[in-house]
Amino acid sequence: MSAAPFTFTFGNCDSDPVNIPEAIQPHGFLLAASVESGHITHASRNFPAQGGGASLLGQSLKSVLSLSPGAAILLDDVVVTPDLAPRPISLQASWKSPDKGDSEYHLLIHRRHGTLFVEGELPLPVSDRMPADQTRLLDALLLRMGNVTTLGDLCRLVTDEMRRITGFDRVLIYQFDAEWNGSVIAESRNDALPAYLHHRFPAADIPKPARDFYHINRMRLIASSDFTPVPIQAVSDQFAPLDLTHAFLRSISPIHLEYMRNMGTGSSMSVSLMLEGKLWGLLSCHSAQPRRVPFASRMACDLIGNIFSLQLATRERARLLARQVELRFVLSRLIVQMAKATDFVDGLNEADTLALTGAHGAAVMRGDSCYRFGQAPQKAELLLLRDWLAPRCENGVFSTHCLGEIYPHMSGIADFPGGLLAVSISPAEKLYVVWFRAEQIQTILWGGDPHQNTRQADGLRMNPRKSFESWAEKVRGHALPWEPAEIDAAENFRKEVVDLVLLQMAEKATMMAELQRMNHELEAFAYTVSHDLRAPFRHIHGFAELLHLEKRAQLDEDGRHYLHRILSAAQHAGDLVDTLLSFSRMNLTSLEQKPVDLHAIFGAERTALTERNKTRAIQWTVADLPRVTGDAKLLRIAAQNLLENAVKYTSLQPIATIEVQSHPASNEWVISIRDNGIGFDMRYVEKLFGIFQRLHSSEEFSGLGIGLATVKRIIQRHGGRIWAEGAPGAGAIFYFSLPRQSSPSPTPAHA
Amino acid sequence: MLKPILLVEDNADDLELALRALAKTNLANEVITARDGEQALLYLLREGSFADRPPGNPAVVLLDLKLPKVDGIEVLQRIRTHKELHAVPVVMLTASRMESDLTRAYNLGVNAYVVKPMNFMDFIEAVRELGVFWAVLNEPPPGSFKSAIRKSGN
Repeated sequence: MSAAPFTFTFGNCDSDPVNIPEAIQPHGFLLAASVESGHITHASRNFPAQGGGASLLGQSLKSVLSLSPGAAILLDDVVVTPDLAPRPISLQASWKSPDKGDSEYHLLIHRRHGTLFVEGELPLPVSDRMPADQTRLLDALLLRMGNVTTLGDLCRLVTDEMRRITGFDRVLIYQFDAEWNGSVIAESRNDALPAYLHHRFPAADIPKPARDFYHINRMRLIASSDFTPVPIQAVSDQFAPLDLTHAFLRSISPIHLEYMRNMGTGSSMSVSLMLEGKLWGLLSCHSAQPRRVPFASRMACDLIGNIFSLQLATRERARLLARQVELRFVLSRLIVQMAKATDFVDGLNEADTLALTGAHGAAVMRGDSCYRFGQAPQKAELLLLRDWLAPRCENGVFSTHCLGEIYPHMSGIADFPGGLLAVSISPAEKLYVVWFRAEQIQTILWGGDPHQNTRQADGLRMNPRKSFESWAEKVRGHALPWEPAEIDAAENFRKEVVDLVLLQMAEKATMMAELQRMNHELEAFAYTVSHDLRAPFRHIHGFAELLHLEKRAQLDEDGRHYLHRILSAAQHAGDLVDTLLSFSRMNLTSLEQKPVDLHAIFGAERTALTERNKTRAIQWTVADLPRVTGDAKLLRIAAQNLLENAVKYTSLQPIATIEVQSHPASNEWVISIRDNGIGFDMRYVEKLFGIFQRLHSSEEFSGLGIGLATVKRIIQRHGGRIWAEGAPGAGAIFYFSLPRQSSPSPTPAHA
Repeated sequence: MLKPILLVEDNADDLELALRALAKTNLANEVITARDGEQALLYLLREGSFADRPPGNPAVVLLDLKLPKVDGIEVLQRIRTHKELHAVPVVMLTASRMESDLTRAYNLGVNAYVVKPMNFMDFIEAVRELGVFWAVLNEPPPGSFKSAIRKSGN
């Protein structure tokens, strides 16, 4: 059991619920009457009635108490008022007890459900009475409460003033967190009782039944921790026990009283502090000695509590608003940067990304990539988390402040974040943004252990360390909960990024479409130009040829030489144009997608080349090649070009060896053509595949230099890659890949 | 009486080269030239300035595809749909093998096509083969019935 000074003990220690103790504290008496009949139903045993409690049966409050007309009117008012009054009001009357001499009891009245309650409190000793100018001081206080700037200042003001008004040794403000753990956030005290400032207590210290009770009962008072309860008797058996929720004299469980005595607390009073209808905290007062507080002071405290609650609501709204505005600024900054970048991730800077939700770490996960900010788990852990998160994030947002309690793979995460706030941007792309928050304990430990300096004078004093440990136990793995403004910020971030991503995707798609269109145009252009160039070259050749045929006798040797060069140049130009024409045409036609037997194709080319090169010694190896999906016509051209090259560039070897192999790979087929020919310098490997690029002069090896460009085009159109390795004098290996589930580009797009 | 050859070609260089190539093949036939499709049709239909020409269809029409005013395809179409002209042999002359209109030409029943080759000597040879095929040569050169004649529909 913990050691909070205001703990209510419940459960199997108490047989009665807290609001039906069937007894009162002894510093007053209590009468109850039926609203309906006006007749007395219950009386505390200390009420001086001739003939005992039974003699009160059938009597009215007014007659028994000899109420003045004014008081009677007030009583009637209360009778007709519905159960809205949360506390008793004064009847502005006193009652003199016949048997207690001149004792004047101050009368308080309240109604609860169908019962009217009158409590008579004995007046206080003079020393305990409030100063006469209390009202003026109260006015001043209320004014000051409206003018303080921070919540901290407000709390200090309230606790100080409360102590001044009531005279308790210690007044503190206790605030609940989202899980009903609490901490003392303000305190005003003298040295009679120990300090509790900053102490933390687990939720169990003020269990749910008590908290629920405190919602309804806003003020409670224990005048002495050492009293004998005065029983309440019903005047007849027909009346059920009383619900003393609002009675000031309500008796307290003896267990609790013993507790108080053990703690050295002689008296206590507390006021519920509400925020928007929910219990926010408690204003708690304690004294080492028994203490009663005059009704007027209690009302002042109640008022202070109410004003505090109102202030709290206002401040909370302002705080929430300020936080929202603050986070909106952060989001705006991020949006500006993200919009500028091609990829939104590049626009994220660590400071703002973390500030957006008050996080200690963050990460963006897209597919298998992770970008980490601040204190985020490692990539492998992140991806595991992502998989777990995906089905939970279908509404777009997921948040928790106790990740450890719901995530099964916590042990893998090094820094034990307690809080996780996640948004999904694109589940299809596996794109998520997550923020992490460290557990609370760590935060507090970072700020220093507030209990280091606690004096522990004697064993009777409570041990705050125990409470802290007990509290720590409860909040292990918990982070401070995400504020609504922070979750809003994450949601807004998500919306913006989704829009941005969609925009960027649309832009990319437009760019791609534009690129494709341009490429198509370029190729159509190349085709048209080549086509149109043919005629003039043809004409040049034609007339040069006619010159040769008809007039060569009239030319001298130089003339004939020039003519010869003209003819050969025109021929070459024509060949280039024709080659370009067929190359372009190949690019413009659509790609067929059918099963193609590479082995058959390469085999056929090998046979044809062997036939055309009967004089050469060529050792062929064509391994088992796979069936692929693609355009048979184009792949045949590719095979032709590759093998022709191999044959051509091995022409200087006595025995040429050409090997065609297949290499396994997970999601593609890889084919290689190796020759032992003249090879090439790897420095020029890029040029190999260029159009009309040649690495050897035309005297060494004939050819236009378009073969490999053609092969590259064909392979690329199939969605594959082509590359080569070689060394001068040491042959060459050409590799190309074709995707297994091929979805190649139907029209050319230069990658 | 030998029927003339109608050569329809708009480009001046191509026209001259074609005429010289024809000259080199010793064709005895007269060669009539038209510079656009409209002129070709006027000749074929014996209209306009050709109204007074002697009647009779040409032995063969060497028709360029791309012509101003009325293009080659349309001329072909008119020929093939005309009661008296539809049997006239037509050979298309094309700038390249890749012309898309070739399909249409096939569908319209062109007899053959010649790709104007880059090499002039090849062009002379092609024209000679045409001459042999349409039997318009004065005296057939030895071994000129080649099996590898380009034929429409191939």
